[in-house]
Amino acid sequence: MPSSRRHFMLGAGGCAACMSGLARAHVLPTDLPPLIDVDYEPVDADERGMWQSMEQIEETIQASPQRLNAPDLQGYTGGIVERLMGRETPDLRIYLMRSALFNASMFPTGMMVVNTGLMARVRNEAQLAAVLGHETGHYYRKHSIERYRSLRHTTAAMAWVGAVANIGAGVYAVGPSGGRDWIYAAQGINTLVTMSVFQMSRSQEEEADAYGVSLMARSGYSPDAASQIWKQLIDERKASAKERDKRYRDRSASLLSTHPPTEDRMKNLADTAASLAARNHQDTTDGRAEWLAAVAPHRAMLLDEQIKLNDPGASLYLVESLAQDGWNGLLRYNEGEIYRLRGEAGDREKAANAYAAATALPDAPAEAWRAHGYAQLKAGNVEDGRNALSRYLAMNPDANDVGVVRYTLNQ
Amino acid sequence: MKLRIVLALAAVTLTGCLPAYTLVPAQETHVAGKKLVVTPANEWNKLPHSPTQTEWDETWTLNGPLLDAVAFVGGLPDGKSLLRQKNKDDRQVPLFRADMSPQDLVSMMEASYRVRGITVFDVESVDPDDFLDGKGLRVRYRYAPNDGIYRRGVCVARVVDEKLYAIKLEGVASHYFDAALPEFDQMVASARLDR
Repeated sequence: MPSSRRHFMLGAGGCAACMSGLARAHVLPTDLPPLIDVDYEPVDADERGMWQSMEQIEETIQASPQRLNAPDLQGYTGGIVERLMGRETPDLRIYLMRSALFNASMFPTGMMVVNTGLMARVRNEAQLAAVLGHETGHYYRKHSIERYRSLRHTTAAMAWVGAVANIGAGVYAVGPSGGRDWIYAAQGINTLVTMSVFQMSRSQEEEADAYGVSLMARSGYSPDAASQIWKQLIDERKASAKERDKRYRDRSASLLSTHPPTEDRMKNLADTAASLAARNHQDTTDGRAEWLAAVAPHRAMLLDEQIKLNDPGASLYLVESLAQDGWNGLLRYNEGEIYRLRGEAGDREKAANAYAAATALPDAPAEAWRAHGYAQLKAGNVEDGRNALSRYLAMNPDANDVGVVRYTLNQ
Repeated sequence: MKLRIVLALAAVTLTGCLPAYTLVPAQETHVAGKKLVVTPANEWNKLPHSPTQTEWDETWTLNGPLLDAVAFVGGLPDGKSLLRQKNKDDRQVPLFRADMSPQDLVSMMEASYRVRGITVFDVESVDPDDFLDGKGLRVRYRYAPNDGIYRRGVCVARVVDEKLYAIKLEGVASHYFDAALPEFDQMVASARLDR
């Protein structure tokens, strides 16, 4: 079932990929106090209705198979938000969701969704903090609520409330009895966050940028991280486009775009960081070591989600970027996987070389031995191939493909 | 009155435009081209061809494709893709190659889901299996589309004369998959190539 590329990226409560230029907007990263208290309650019947609908969505997300069950990473992410806010944040609930798209979203009720595709790409704690700070800005500066209020009397807002109610019910109405099969079947819960009512105005995005960067500076994170993450994303998309022999296009001007980052945004955030650094003389950190330790148990899954998309330009960019911290068995294996899936002339040899390099490293994952084995068999190196496959089975005797690997070995 | 006539005409026109399901009788039937032949034990509904399907692809269902579906690949040639895709698509299903390893075949099948935005996809097992008078692969898997409802799947595939032949069943994990599995196995057992 196809999933909309627009889903989270079109913007629940202001998505991360919607941040816009700060310096140009003259929204200074100062004097932006939170406008929502910890115990904020909806103020009228309409807002209470929206809250109830959002709670239905949250229940759906809580039980969703896409939700990542990783209490360690969840706690780590929550800890960053608390460090940014300088207090505990019982008013925010963070959900890590398995989607290979780079994005995060903030809902008006304090629910934040962070994609694994974002986790796959950030290189240090400060970069993650940059996104989380921006999202909290949408919440604490009341952008979602303001946006809702400005549209509450319009058809769009009413349609949105109705759609939320419908889909909230539809998700649970499995099968024909619900009568709304087409809603959840064709679109699913991610459609909720593509509703235009959630899209933030440019000034709100600018303010969220400013808010996030000010939180970073106050919390001792290097504010440069905010522009770095956008530079990485632009570079990745350029690499992806080049691989498919097409021009990189910034589609942020299009209403139906996935809001890729803009060069302007990156430059504005860099300018802001520079101005903050000039005024703020406290030591800052990018939290690289902390991030690497936190992500280590999940790195294989995060890479797997991206590499299996067979978007070789983006995937090679990601793997080579991560390898700036040093090649290891996991990265070499994934490099080989990218070439194997791409399957162009010469890729078979490149994949074989990468697998050979991976298995020469002490931390090669078991899958690297399987891939090495099949690559060697294809190259006619039967003994090496069989030895590698045997090694794979020894390392992973409960592998899901043990049956077919044993069959291969018995041929 | 005029309005009624216009509405009636519109209804007729629109109905005529809709692609139609067709009934598949419970008898020996060519599927997904002229080579692959199966014998279903029950009547099935053949789905209209979708824009993403190739000419070597055909899909049937019992209760609707959201609940259960059997799909056939009837001789995909070397160098072709399981899905119709453009050269400039960012994400692409790897092209089928006749000398693919079992690992390659599983990856190709998995990619046909991943490129459509399905992130939660787990291969449960890969085993050798008899298919079309030879040894092929049986891949069991499950995945979660964005509706949040787990599907289970099983695919039996084999490369014959450098072409890929496959039959797969997928359905809602609760009830529908298990209910259709015996008939799927019967179809796999009945499958033959019309030479």
